[in-house]
Amino acid sequence: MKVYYFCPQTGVYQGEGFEDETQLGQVDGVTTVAPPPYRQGEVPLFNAPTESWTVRRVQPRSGISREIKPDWSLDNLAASCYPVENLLRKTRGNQMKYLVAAGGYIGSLLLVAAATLICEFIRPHLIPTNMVMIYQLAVVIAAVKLGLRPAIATAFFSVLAFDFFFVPPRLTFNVAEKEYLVTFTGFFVVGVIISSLVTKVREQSLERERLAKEAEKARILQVQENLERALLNSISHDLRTPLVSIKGALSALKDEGDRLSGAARQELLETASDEAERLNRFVGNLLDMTRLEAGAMRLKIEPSDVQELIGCALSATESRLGEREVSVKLPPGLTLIPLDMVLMTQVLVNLLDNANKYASAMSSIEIEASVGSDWLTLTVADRGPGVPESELPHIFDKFYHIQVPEKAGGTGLGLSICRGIVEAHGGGIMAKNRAGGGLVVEILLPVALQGEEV
Amino acid sequence: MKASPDANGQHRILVIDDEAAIRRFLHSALSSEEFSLHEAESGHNGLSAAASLRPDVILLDLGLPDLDGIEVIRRIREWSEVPIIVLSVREREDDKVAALDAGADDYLTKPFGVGELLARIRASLRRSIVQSSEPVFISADLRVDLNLRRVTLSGDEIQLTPTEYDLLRLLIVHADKVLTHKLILKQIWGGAHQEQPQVLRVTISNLRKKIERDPSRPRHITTEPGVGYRLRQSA
Repeated sequence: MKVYYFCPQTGVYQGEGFEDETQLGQVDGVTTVAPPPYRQGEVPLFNAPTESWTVRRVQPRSGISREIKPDWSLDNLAASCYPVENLLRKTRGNQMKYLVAAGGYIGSLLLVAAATLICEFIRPHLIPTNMVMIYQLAVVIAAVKLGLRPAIATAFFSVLAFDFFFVPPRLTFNVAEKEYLVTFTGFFVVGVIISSLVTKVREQSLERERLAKEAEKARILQVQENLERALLNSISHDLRTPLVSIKGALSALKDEGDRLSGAARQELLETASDEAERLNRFVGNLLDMTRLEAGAMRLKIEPSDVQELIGCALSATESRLGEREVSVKLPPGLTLIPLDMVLMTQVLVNLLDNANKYASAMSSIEIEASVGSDWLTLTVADRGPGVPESELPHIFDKFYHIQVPEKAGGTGLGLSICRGIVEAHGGGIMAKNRAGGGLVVEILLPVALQGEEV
Repeated sequence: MKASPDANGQHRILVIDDEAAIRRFLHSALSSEEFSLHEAESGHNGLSAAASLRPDVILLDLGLPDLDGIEVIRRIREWSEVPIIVLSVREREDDKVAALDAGADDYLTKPFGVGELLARIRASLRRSIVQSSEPVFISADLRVDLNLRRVTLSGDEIQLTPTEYDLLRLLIVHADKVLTHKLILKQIWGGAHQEQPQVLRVTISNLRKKIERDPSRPRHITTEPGVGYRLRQSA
């Protein structure tokens, strides 16, 4: 059943069968009287047979607004839009029904005429009784193409045409041999049975097709909804977790500060400070992601020193890396590489943070650069647990979390931002597991300037 | 203009920021025997407060509702050399460069820690008190005698090319201050090279190889990505 939406504030209908936005009074062949006044919590319902509105008190239906496509410019009004069920189908349907029906009967007359013509051609070679088969074929065609009633009409017209044109005496409805009455009856009954069987099969297969389509549609909606919910859950979780710690620590200091030991107070302060830092990074990542997706990130590509790039990333992560050893290996005489210093620093910072998060504090992180004729290769390698092979292709996807010990608490954004930035440079990024344990992330950047850089 | 403490021995700090929460936080974090804090919540109020109060340092938020922060800097620079520290968010590198080129002395990326802010304020005050640099610059293992043009690292003499030395000297004169790429290019190579930042990158890289223990972790000349360079002076 189709559902149409009527927005009382604007008088706009929305849904299948309407143009994008159809104003009240513009729908052809549909009574589009404005609904009567009603209050919040009531829904105006259109009664098609009597073409009148009634107002019914209803529970708010959740999910209605979600079904409205987001590209509807009035989606801020979506909450006050109501489904007007059957509004179109009933009223517009009445007109259509007569047209379609008339077409069907005209079709059956044409089929009978065609069958009659064929019979006329082969009349010298066939006895009249066998011509019945030609008419039966017309009935089957009518049943497949036109539906039940036109098929029965075809059977009926066939009997008349057969009698009139071919049963002696010809060109009258008189019947010389009474046996033909049995032929007529048998033909008509068989015709009706064939018609109803064929149309039933046709309707079943159409219904099955429709159901399959609807199931597919529902499945896609479900998948999208699940994804959206997962994203929202992930974002709100990542935003709230640090806030919980910050608020907890600060309220403890504010309310219980006097009773806490100096060490405890210090620990609470450090927790709040670290978590604020984490929250700041997450918000930064979220902004980067939004800008990448909106295409709003404009690269400022300049010939840059790779060692300087690494230095910037190391200095930005210094406080978090603490005592961890980070080794840097660079080929001597490395040329300047065209890149956006700020964004590529962000890429390395995210990779370092990631390695720092997953690898044990004792293990070292290795940064290495090498350059060929076309590409600069930058790798960040850790001695963490690595990533299961089956998950490797997905770790650069947005909000992808691999199953890791709870302490990690990643945002699932860092690596996808890396990919977005590197790809905006015309480069590539991939990850593989290291021999001996750990993960290597490899970045390839073009050595020559790309066509569309600033 | 000289930055001298007022009768109470306090330096006057003017905060121009429309966010009440940030003014409140700065007020409680900075007010002390050393500093007295004054607030303005808009660009116009900030300009008149700068004129009437004659602060020793101005902390300026770039995102003001009534007046572009860059415009505030320009108008103050028409009549005063008071140190201006810009408070800006991370994504706006171009704004930082524009603010520095308009005459701001330094910037801090929000959110920032109070320790960092205090260090920047003190560095700005020091610069405005000491008009001309000391003839000898010392920071950790680095020692530069500007009279003798002599550079040593842990006592060992370092040979610099004339361009490297000029660049180092420029950074020393503005120690602890961010110098934009544009400003450095103009000062060292003249107007013609302003569009060729490579030459600056290469010179910085070479200079770091000579004066940094680990050029991948520079301690003296640090990069402010997308903005410029800063020479750090540590005790």
